[in-house]
Amino acid sequence: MSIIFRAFLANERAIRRIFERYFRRAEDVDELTQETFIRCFSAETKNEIRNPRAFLFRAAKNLALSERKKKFRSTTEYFEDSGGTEVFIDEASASAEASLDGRRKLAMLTQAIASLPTDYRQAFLMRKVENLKIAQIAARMNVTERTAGHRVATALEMCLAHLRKAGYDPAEFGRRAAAPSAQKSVANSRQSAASSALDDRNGDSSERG
Amino acid sequence: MIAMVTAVNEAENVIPISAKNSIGAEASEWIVVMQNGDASPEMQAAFAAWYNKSDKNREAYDERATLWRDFDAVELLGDIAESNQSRQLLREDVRLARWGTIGRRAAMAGIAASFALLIGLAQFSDIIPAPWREQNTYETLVGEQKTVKLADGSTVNLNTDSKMKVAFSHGARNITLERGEAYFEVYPDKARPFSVHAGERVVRAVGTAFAVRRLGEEKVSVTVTKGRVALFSGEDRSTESLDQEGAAPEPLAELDAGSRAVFDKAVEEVEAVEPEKIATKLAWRGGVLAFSGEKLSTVVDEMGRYTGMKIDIASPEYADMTISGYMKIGAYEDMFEALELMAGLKVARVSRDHVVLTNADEG
Repeated sequence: MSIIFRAFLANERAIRRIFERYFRRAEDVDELTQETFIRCFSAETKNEIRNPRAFLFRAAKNLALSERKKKFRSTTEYFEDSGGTEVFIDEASASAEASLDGRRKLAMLTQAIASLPTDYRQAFLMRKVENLKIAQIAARMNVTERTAGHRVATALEMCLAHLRKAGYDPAEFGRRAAAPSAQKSVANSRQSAASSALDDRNGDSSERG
Repeated sequence: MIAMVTAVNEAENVIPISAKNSIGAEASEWIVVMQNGDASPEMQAAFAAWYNKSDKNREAYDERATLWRDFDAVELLGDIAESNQSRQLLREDVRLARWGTIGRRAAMAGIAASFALLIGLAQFSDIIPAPWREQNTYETLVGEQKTVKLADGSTVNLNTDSKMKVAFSHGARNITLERGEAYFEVYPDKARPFSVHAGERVVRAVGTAFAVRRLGEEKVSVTVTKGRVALFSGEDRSTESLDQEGAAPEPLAELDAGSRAVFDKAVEEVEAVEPEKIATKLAWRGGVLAFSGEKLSTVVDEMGRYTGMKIDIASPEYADMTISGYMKIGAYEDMFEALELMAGLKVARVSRDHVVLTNADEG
């Protein structure tokens, strides 16, 4: 498990309390607590963190202050634009809702990665964050390609287990709106299933090649 | 496609299936192979055979393929890790770790060393109260501002991306402005002169109010709003020599309220500034950037300090355009919006930390 994640789990209550001082809505507190984790873990992917607890608290405080400033400003702006009609507010809150949802998913995925043992976590991060190929990961970790591939595969398997344990069904999770029907057609036809799986791979290679 | 053809002869890419593993683990191994974008035709055939062997294989694979794509979202972590906030947090972490090591070593070295630690604590924390003494570092992020009340009753407004060290002792009040800009309202205390060090430059005051801004390594700008300050320059004007009574060095110049000077080794310019102009220059203390007829190039430099962005002006003829108006210091999107209005130009994003100002009519 990443040291930031361990410190986060041990101090989650205290981090929430920092945000509770400034924000009354529980959703805001949830969102900012998750955001703190995402930021700190991101930093950990590229650097050694020496004091994870202090790191989390400092990040939380910075975030609380900058968000409070932002909230305050947007409220005053609504007042100033006295045409602050319902439509306008609805639009703003709807898009905020959507981005919040994306952020929540990012937090779940990030926690799944953070829970992995170091070698597996690093291999998976190189593949999905840095977009390296297996051969490049093998060279960086100084292991065979087979080991590198196995680490990424095992990491994916462990992430899946982590997400299931956390009560998320990956089949419903983070899916684009059109995906469920595509999934159905794949399940119905053997042939189209194979070709669609191959298409995935083709899409991947043409994007990156 | 080309990548796949060239990879055909890589037969050493052994089919990564091991019998002991469950279908799930097999499926994950296949995901990694097939998503790597370089599977040989043999490998693809082997995959198709495996995939079509049973519904269980297909379900396991499809589920993991979806999750694999969902994980594309974590690419964002790379950007977040590169952000200014992250870098700032990391710097703090390193700084803290250094003090932590010193503390730990002292604790391990026994009683004698514990005594040293105690002195350390007295200097660096509030455990032993000493109203006349303060050793602290204050820092702001890009776009951030802070108001600090010092132990002697003086107040400091720290502007964007600035850092200062405070070292107060019974005989002297020394501030080191390591970068950026600060406005000082000095509590009068003739016995303890108040000095602001900026590199080798020193601005010394008794009871007064003034702003100091570092313009690069050497140059410093000083704006006095109340009282009188003296400017010093050179290495020999160190903290010690300033502290010694009688050995007072000759100042480069003395500045009265309502004047502004730029100096490095010598005074470069001194100007009298009208009160309104001073208010404009120091409007940042109220969270506002104010301009009254400054050139666009100056305005853009200023905005860079508050947003951390590289701002280019697309064509040189705009650089001399004069700008007047106010903008709130805060989210850079809002600041750019204000700039668009003031200059009648369009802010085009080149990358995360780079924008170009272009003519509003050109797209």
